[in-house]
Amino acid sequence: MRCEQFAELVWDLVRPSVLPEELAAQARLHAADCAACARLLAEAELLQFGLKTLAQQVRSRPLPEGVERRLRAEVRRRWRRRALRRWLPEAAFAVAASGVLVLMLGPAGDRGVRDRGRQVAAALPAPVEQGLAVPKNPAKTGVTKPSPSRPEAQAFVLLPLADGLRPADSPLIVRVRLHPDALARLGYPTPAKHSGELVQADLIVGPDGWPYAVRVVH
Amino acid sequence: MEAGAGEPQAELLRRLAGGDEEAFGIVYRAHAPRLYRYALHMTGQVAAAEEVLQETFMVLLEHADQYDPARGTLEQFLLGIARNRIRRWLQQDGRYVELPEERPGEPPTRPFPLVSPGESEVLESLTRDQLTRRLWQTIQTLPEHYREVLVLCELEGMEYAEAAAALGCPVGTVRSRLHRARELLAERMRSRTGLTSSVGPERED
Repeated sequence: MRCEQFAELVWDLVRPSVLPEELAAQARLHAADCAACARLLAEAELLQFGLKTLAQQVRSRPLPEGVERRLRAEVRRRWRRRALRRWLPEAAFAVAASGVLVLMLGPAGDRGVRDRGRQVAAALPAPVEQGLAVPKNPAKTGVTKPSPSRPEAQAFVLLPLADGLRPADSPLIVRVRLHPDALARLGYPTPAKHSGELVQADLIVGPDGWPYAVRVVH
Repeated sequence: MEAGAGEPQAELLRRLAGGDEEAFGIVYRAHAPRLYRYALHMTGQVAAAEEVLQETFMVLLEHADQYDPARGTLEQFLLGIARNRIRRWLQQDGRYVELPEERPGEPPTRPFPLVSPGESEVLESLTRDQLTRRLWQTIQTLPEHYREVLVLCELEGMEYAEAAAALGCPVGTVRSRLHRARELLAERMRSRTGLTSSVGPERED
């Protein structure tokens, strides 16, 4: 074997099981008789040892903290955004259709809305009171005559994120006072001109803390 | 190192695209360690490697639908994204100055770059072994195309064919670049340290 050949394969020589045994033996025999190639082999062995050590040390470094947490939050955020984009047109259409129906049917339509509200509310737990007098059974809310002590509620309007709401999710009804603008931001139809007074409303809140449906309580 | 050995990668990515956090966890745990180490070796800085890792997965979240299993494994897809991010980082960051490639037999014509704060942080975390420290520093001075094959094949233990697929080049190119990378590494280590005489394990001579 010539020195040029040895120099070509010295790096494979120091890696286990890369060269055929016969060729490796020839190369080692050459290095035993050639001082320059022996030195080259020693250097290659040393570098191979160093690279292996370096690889082990870097391999033992833990992953940076926080990256996975931030990325998981991003996964959730993107999913919510996609769900919102998917439901916005349908929700807008549903709200518009509901408005048209109410206008067309008049008092009968109003009764229909109340009936739907009773159906939704019957499947849900009692609202959490926020300093207000709330009937224990909201299912009866729509059928009793409105009075100052017994507020009457409209039907719940599904918000764009209602996609994930299932009975097993144990939603909670929270009664709150909101500015009409806040209602509008939730996707609830409010008149463009309003008095600015706080509106009493029930929110169906999912187990993740997001509002899924809203109804105004008069 | 393929994600979810029991589940096809395309299915995992489909779940990921649908907002499945568990699918993300499987993909992240399977691929993040190697991607992080690769970025660490290529940038030489902890903060930059963390940035590259995060950005790589952000791109995956955004473009998971662009992954085509027929064109390669998910690991290759992710390494490709990481390479682009690293390249951009190297181009934008003024701290790194690539040395010109020397001809065989000629000594380096420029001094080696100083150790940056991020680099020294990495070095501090390594053992005090002189050889390892100097190797780490010297690897950072190699031209990018040599450094990446050295990192993938020598430090990450990839086969030539695997590295070629990850880098999108023929196996022969990987082989020749690796050979040249080792030569350059040896030359630079020799000129810096007097390689065989001053450092390293005891050997029988």
